[in-house]
Amino acid sequence: MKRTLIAIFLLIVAGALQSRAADQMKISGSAPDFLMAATIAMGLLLDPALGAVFGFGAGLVQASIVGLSFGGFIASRTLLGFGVGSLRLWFFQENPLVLVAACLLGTIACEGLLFLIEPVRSSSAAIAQLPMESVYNAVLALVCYFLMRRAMEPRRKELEVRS
Amino acid sequence: MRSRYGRLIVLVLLLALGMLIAALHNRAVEDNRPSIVATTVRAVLSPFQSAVHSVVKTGHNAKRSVRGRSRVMRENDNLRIELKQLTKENARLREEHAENIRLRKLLEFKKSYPTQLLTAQVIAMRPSQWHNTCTIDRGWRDGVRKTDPVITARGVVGQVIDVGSNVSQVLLLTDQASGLGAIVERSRVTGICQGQQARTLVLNYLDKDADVKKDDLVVTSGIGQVYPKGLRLGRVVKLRGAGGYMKSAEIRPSVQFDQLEEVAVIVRKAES
Repeated sequence: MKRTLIAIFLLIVAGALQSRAADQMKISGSAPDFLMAATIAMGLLLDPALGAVFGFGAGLVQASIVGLSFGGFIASRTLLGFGVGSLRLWFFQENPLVLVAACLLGTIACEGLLFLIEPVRSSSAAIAQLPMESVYNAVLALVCYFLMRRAMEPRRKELEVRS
Repeated sequence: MRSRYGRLIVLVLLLALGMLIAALHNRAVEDNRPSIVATTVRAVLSPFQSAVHSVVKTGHNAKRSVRGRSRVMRENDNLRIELKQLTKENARLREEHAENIRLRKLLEFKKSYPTQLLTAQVIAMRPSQWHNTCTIDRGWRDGVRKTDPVITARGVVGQVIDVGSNVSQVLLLTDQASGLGAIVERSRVTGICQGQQARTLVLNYLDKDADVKKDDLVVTSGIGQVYPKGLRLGRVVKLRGAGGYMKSAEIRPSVQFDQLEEVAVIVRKAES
């Protein structure tokens, strides 16, 4: 229950930040994607199915605030949550390098997927901003991951005791 | 849920649900109805957005006041050194003159567009790297309808693509999905003005011999009946592809999208 509430709160806060603050936080033309960073962080903390559910929510929120590409946003974010969750399940180690790699690859894969689902006509500008956006998201995802892990820690400890 | 197949089933179900929501949303937008899902999500987000907006605004104001203070100090130093009270007076008069011109233009602009103008605040800007949209604080309760043009005194901002009860989504001119009939004010050459995701627009489908020059003003042509005729779009900064059958022109938009705070929606009266 606590995990669900934390996840919903994170989703809402990330959505609010995405709509009101992301454009103000541009660094050399690239803006952060709070919802994507939150999806990556939650994917790393939860299992693939729950990661996909969180990604679904993130896609829905993002599509609602953008007002376009509902299908593209929902599908790409759902698959991102599932993919990062699977990564954790198969070969995730709590190593900062693995975390950074997961965040970078997650952003690139997710944006690539959205591009495949809904190609933009003049993609060069958007693609040029992708590396910087990935780094930006990776930093945000890491911060979010450690904060969320801390918030969910009692639950994890409880599970360990049970097992 | 823990088994491999269970996880895949969850994924497939979520994707199918996503597609269903997307289809329902698109149907609602096509029928000019507010989308229930999007409206609900926006309603839930709204108080949190306001909180974030307040924080961002406070930060901006603090930044401005710091900048403003240092500027005033510099000015004061210069004035003390130069001891030219007259220069200061002159600057004040110039400022008032510029304001006078701006207000006169706005008045003329309002007079020339007798349709109802609804002022709105931009409350969210470009929430995605791939789409150039913004959110305004007016919705169907204020009379806003899908495809209503959104403008400022400087020119066209875009058009409404999705209407909620109290907010609306606006597709900016710079989005690649944006396109409208345009005309070069000096030579009356027509073309299609399209967004290209960057900060500039492109005027396409110009004849290779078309009389278009750098710095030419491009305005709306009124074709398509979405935008009224004669609204400013921008100025030509570069000509492209002059060697082929057609050429195009790169346009710097009149509106500074990065500094968009207040806009006006041209509200059409509902057809009886």
